[in-house]
Amino acid sequence: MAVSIERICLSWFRGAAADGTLTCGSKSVVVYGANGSGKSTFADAVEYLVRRRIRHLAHEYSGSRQEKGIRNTATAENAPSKIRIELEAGQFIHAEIDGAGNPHFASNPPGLGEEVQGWELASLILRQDEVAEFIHSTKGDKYSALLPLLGLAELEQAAENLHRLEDAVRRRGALEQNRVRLDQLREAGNRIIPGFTEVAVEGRLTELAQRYLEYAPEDLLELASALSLEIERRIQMVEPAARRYLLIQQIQHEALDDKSRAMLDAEAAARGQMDALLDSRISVLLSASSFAESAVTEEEVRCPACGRPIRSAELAKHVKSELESLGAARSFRDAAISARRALATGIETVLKSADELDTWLGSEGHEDCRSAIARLRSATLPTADREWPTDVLDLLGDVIPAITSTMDRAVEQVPASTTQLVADKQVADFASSLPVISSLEQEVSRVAGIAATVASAKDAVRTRIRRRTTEIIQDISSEVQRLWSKIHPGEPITDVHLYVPEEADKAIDVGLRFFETDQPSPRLTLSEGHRNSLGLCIFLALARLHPAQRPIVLDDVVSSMDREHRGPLSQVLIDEFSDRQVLLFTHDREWFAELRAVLPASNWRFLALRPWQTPEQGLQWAQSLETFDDARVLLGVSPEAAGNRARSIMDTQLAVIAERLKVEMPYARGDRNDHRTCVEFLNAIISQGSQRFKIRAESVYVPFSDAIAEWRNVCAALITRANRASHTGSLTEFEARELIDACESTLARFRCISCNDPVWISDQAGRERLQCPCGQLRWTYS
Amino acid sequence: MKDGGSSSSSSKEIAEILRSLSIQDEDDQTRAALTRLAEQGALEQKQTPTSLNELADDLLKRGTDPDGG
Repeated sequence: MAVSIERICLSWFRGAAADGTLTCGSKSVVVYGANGSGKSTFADAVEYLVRRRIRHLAHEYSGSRQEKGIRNTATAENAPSKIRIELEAGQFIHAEIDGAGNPHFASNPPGLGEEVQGWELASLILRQDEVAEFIHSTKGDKYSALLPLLGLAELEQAAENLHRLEDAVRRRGALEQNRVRLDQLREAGNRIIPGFTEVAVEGRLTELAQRYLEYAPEDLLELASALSLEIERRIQMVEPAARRYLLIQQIQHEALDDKSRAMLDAEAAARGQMDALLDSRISVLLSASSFAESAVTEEEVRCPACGRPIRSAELAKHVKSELESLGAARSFRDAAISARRALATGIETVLKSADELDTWLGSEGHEDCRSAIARLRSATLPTADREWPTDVLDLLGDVIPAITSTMDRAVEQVPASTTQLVADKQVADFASSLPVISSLEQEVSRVAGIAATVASAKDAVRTRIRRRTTEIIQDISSEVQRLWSKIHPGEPITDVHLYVPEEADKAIDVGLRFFETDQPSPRLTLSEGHRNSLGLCIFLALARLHPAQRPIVLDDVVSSMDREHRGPLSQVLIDEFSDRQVLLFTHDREWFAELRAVLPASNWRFLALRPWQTPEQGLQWAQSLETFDDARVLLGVSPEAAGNRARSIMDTQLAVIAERLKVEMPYARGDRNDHRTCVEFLNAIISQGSQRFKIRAESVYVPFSDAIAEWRNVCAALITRANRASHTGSLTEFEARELIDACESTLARFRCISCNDPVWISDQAGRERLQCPCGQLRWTYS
Repeated sequence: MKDGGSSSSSSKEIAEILRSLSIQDEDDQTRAALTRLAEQGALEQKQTPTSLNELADDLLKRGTDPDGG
């Protein structure tokens, strides 16, 4: 059932003073008012009752409850601002707003206020600045604007909740943190054990166990723990171990076994030689050699060495041979001494090093070495220049192998460097985190699975929304296209439609064909006027498709539309919205005149606001609808301007009337045709109206002579007074007032005083004549 | 076109969408929980951050409970 407004009563709200009432009488209304006259105050009142706020007042200066914008500035401090919208059958919604902007609502029936709050503003009120806003808005904003009208608000809310729930699951389940932690652990694992896997970790642990542990636990974690402890212990011991290894190396480098063997060999070679004898004999032989060299005769001499007679030449040869033999023997002896000395030095070094190895020698596995060193330490070695006795040699033969074999083994156990220890400990420690990784993997998988399910649910709801949206906007598109075609007949802009862009959720855009070329957005090719017109078509389409027959409010929506398109829009209002209450506000005098000319008084009321004066006076209704109050308001200020305004109003009004009456005008070229003056129109109307304009008298129609006579007077006044107003500036206030009143009266003659409709409202008898609905006035074509 | 829609029809529609979800068996608990929420009308109503956190905690708790919470 259609909802219609009987009255909008305002008090100290926005532009209204104590009383600003728009009486609709359940009809559609057209309200004319110059800029600032207070038209939008009524749209604001409707919006406030629906939204409890006014969108265009949502700025920093309006106050937290918009109290600075809602209340008339002249409102007494304690006086409330009031809005009351009365519907049919005694229903009303009432709001009182105190000085702080706090509203108090009442309604009859009681639930009506809440019901009105559920009205979608997007299909209720269209304002001038919003006409193109939809076209200019983003795809997402278009979607948001249309969403309530699509009937998908609940699905959209569900999708939004699921989206946020997915986020909450991820957040509360620490999904991203755990993923980061897992990635870090895996990255660390790859760094420590390239190609990190659990198997690889086990392999490395086994390898480390062989290096560090006597006993390796089977359990992986226990093994890792044991390794970690052992390696840590070794890291603490790294300095003593290095020193110990150095000592062992020194002992091993002494190569006691080699020196011992060399000494024994030397001993064997020199054994049996008598050192003293050797020296003595060599001394003798040297003397004998000197003697033999000096005895160069062939006589026999007695050998000083062996005493036998020998020829001196042979003696010399003999002595030389003996010296060579004894020299070799002495070399063996010297070698044995040197070997003994080397061995003794080596033993001394070993014993010195062994002093620092006492702890190590005391540890398990080194008992033989420890014993050998103790025996060696307690032994007294002879001097190196004398052959060592057998017991010493036996001792050495016993202990040296025990020492060298131990040292040879020990020197192979190179102590690990700190770097290596640390690296190995990292492996052991990382192995301890394997359960953490496994646990994290499971947790991440679990939470991700839940989040994925929520996301799937969201996607499924979104898919449903998209499908339903596509279906619904196809209906809207058909309606938009139909309305567009009516307002823009024959224009090369076709196939105007709404569509859901591919790969985009929560988005709707407007497409069209411009000169047979597809355009994804009106912003590419349409002029501002066409974009505004398109925005209006979309609003009207949504309003028409909305199941609830609610009033629609059009607040100055044709500002950028030219006359050619305003006319079809008027026809759309007649054809498409006869069953819907329309509250149309305009500052366009010409369109107001056109609307008054075409919209039937049976369905429409026309009202005009006086120009704004003061906040205390507030919005005020004009006495007449011919908009001459716009001129009257200038009387006290500038009579010349008032006269000019009156003539301008007549230019506009008479152009519309001449068009409606199909008055034949002389040909005028180009722009001149659009700039004819009121005098030209009035002369043509008078000329043709003398025969055509008739009034019913009893049962016959007679020429409306009174009207024609009045028009002639006005035409003369316009020529003289209005021209004086614009050309000489000498019009008095009295003259201007007379001119305005006469013009207003002139225009009133075209309207029936009985039915209040103009004479042209009804096209009768196959376009042979026009007449008002009651038939009192008539204009014939011939 | 609908005029605002009734919560019950929306709840049924949302629950039907969720029931027809094709998901892995292990996530069926989550799907079932979401379907119950839809049937109760919780999904079509604007939820506060606190209530969404509670719903999330509930889903996560169910995920760790072998009996489905």
